[in-house]
Amino acid sequence: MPGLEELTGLRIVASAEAIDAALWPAGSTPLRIAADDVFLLNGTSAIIGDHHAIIEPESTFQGRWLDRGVVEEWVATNADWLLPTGDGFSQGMVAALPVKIWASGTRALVIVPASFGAELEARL
Amino acid sequence: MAPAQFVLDGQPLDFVEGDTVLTAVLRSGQILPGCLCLAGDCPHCLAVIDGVGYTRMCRTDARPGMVVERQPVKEYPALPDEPLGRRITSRLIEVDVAIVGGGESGTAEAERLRAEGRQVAVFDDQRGEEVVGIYAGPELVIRTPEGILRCEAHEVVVATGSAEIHPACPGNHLAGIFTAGAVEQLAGFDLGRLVAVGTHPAGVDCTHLAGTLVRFEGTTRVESVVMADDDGLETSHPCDSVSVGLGRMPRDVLARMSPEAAVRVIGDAAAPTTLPSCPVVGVVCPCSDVTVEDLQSVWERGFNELELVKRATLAGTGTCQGVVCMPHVRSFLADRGVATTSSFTARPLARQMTMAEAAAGWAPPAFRRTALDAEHRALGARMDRFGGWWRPWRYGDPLQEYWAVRQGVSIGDVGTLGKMIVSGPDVVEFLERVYPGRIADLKPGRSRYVLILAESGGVLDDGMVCRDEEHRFTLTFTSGGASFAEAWLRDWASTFGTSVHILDRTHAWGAINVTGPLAPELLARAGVEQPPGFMGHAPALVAGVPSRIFRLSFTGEASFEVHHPRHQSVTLWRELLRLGRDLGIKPHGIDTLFTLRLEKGHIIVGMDTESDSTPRRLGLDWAVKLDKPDFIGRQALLRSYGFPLEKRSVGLVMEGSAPEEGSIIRTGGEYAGYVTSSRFSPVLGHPVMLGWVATGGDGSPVGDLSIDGRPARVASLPFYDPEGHRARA
Repeated sequence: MPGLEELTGLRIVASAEAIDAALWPAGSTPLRIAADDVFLLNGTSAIIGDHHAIIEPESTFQGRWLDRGVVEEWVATNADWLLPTGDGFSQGMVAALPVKIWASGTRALVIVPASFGAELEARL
Repeated sequence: MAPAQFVLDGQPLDFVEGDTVLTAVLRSGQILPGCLCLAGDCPHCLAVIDGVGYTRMCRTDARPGMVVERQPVKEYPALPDEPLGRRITSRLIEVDVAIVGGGESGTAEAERLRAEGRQVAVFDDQRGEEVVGIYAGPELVIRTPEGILRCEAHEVVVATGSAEIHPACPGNHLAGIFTAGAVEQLAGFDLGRLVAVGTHPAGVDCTHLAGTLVRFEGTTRVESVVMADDDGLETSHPCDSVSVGLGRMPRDVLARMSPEAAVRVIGDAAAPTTLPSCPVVGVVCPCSDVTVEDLQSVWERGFNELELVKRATLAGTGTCQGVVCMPHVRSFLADRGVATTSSFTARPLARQMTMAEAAAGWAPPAFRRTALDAEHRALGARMDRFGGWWRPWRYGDPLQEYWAVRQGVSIGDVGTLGKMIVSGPDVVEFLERVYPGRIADLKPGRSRYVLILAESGGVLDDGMVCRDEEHRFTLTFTSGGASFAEAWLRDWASTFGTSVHILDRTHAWGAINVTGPLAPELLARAGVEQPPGFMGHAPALVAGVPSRIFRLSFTGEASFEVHHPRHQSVTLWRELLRLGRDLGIKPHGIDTLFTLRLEKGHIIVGMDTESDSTPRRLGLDWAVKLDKPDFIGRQALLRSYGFPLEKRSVGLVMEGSAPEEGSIIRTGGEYAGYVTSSRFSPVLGHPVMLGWVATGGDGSPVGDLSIDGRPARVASLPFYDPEGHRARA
C-alpha cells in the first residue's frame, strides 16, 4: 500500500476533564488516543483548560484513507480484533504493527507511527 | 468417459463421485491395517495428501489429480523436499453462538437458537471444517479448505457426538477390521466373508458371533476371529472382514479442552459413558504403540492415576488424542479400583495442523525506521537492527568515521533515543521519586545524567533529565529503553498518585548528534552562533529547522544533539552534510559510536549490565543520592550496600588485539569474570574493555588478570580524555 501521507495536527496531553470540555476548531478531528491524550488531526490550535497541558505540533503519524471494506478485511485477517461497526476510532495491533483506525462512513483512515510507515506499506 | 483418478502411492486409482479417498481405496479392493472407523476418529487412514501429512483419507473427498501417499500409523511422514508454497490465510469472525458439529443434535440446537433470534455458526468436519482447539475467550480455531478461521463466540456448543470404541486385543492391527458404523457406511462394498462382533451393523447381512472377543488372527489381513463363551472356551471363526460393535464413547475432546463456563456440551457428546471390559493383552494405543503390558508396567511403578499413566506411556498423546485408547486405559484403571469420572485433560490441538496453518495470520515483529533511514541506505550504510530500530552500522571505513569524530566533525542519527515530555504540578516530586539522582535543584535549560532503577536496585536504563521550564521536563532514554519508558512512567505516576502529564515524542522527533572538535564551527555555519554550554539545552533554528539543542557527550568530543520535528530530518541532515563538506564531515554509524563511547567508559545498558547490576557495582554511585527521602530502588540499594562488593564492572586494558566480547577473565587460571565490551582504541593504540570481575571485600580485583591467556590490567575510567576537556570544549 504505497502512498502514506504525513498526518499533521496537534498532540494534546491534558487532564481528562479538560479534554472532555475542549472545543475543537472547525476542520480538525480529535482522535482520542487515551483519556488524557488527543491527536487533533489537522488542528493548528486548541484551547485547553489545563495550565499544565502539553500541546505539541504532531509529526508522529502517517496514514492513508482507504475503502472501509479493505480495512475491515485487513483487520479481520491480520489481527485479534475486528473493526467495530459504525463510525469510530479504534486502536490495536494489526499485522504486528501499532495501528489506529478512524472509520468514517465508507472510508477508514489507517494511521501508524511514521517509523512503522514502511512496514505498513509492506504489510497492508 | 474415462473414470476420474487420483494417484495413490504412485499408481493411478479410479474413484466415483461421492467417494472419499478412503472409500475409493476400499472400493479398489485394498484394505488398510487396523480397525477403520470412517468417522475421523482413529489413526488408521492417515495419508500425505498433496504434501500435507496426517490427513485422514476418510475425511477427504477424492479429487482428480490429487497425490496420496499412505502414512504408517507409527511413523512420521517424510517432510516435503520443498515448501508447499501455499499462503494460508487467517480470518477472525465473531458470532453469538458457535456450534461444533453439524449432526442431529448440533443442527437441532442451531435451529432452536436461530428461532430465538441468535446469530449462530455451525462448524462441521463433514464439510472440511475441523475445529482444532477451543481457547480462552472462548475462541475457536478451525481448519477450513479456505484457510484458518478464528471464531470468537459468546457461547460455544459442543455437539460432536460420540465415537465408536475400538477393539483392544491381539491382532487388532490386522487389515479387514471395521467398526460397526464403518460397515454400515460401506454397504455395497465387497468385504468378503464378513462377521460381526458385538452390536450388529444395521442393515448389513453378515454372520453374528456370540461370546467375548479374544483376538483376531491372520498374517496381514484378518483370517479368523477367536471368541470365548461364558466358560472361557475359545472358538475360531474364519472370515475376511470383521464388524466390531463395542459401544460408543462421547467425542468430547473439545469439551475437555476448555474449562470455560461458556462452553456447553449437548447430545451424545454429553452422554454418560459405559466403559468397555478391561483389556487383558494387546495394543491399547495404536498411535503410541502402547500395550496392556506397558500399562501394567507403569501401574506397578506407581503411576496409578489417569494423568500419570498418560504421561508415563504417552497413551492418548498421539494422532487420535485418545479417542481409541482412552476407554481402555480408563477401564484398565477402573479394574484396579481407580475411579476415573472423565478422560484426561485435553489441550489444543485436537487435530494436526501444518506449520503454515499454525503461523497463519502471524506477522514478525516490525523494526522501526528513523526519518533518515533512506538517507543512510542511499549513503551505502550497512543497516542492522538494534533496540527495535534499523540503524546504520557503518557507512564505509569505520576508521574514517572514527577520526572524523575525534579530529573533525561528524553527524550521527540518534533519532532512536527515547524522548518524553513530562509536565504537571507534581512533576518535580514525581521525578524525584522516579530517579535516584537529584532533580529539584536542576535549573531550566540544564540537563543531568540519570539512572533508571528497578525496585531491586538494578539498572534498567539510563538517560538524561532536561528541565525545560519550572514544571516541564524533557527526559531521554536509550533506544532500547524507549519502548517501555512511557508505560513505565505512567505506571509510576499512577502508583505515586502524582499529577503529571506524559507525552512520548520518540516517534515525533528526529535527533542528529553533531560531534567532534569542529562541531561548534558546523553549528555556526548552520546559524547557531551561541550553542548551549556543556549539559545545557536551548531552542534554536539549525539550518532553518526549529530545533532544541542538547549539549552533552557520549563520544567524548564536543557534541550537540539536535532534536527536531521528524518530518524535517532529511532537510537538516542534508544541510549539515553540505555545510560541513569542506570540514571533512562524515556520518558515523553505531559501530564507530561503540568504540567512541567505550574509550570514554560509558556503559551500554543491557550490554554492560546484568539484571543485578546496581549503581555501586557499575561504579555509578555518584548518580545516586541515598540521602533523598525515597526513589525507586532505594530500599534495595540500602540493603545491598550492607554487603561486601563481590563483583564490579571495571575498565580493562591489554596489549595486542582486542579480545572478543564475552571473553573469560581469569585470575590464576580461575574464572574471575568476563568482558562485556571490547574494542581496539585507535587513539590510544591498545584495546580498551569493560568487564565484570570478582572483587575482594574492598572492591579490588583479586590477583593478576588474564584474557585469552594474555595479561590484562584494570585501568581507571575514562580511558580517553579523563578530565573531560574535549567534551566541554
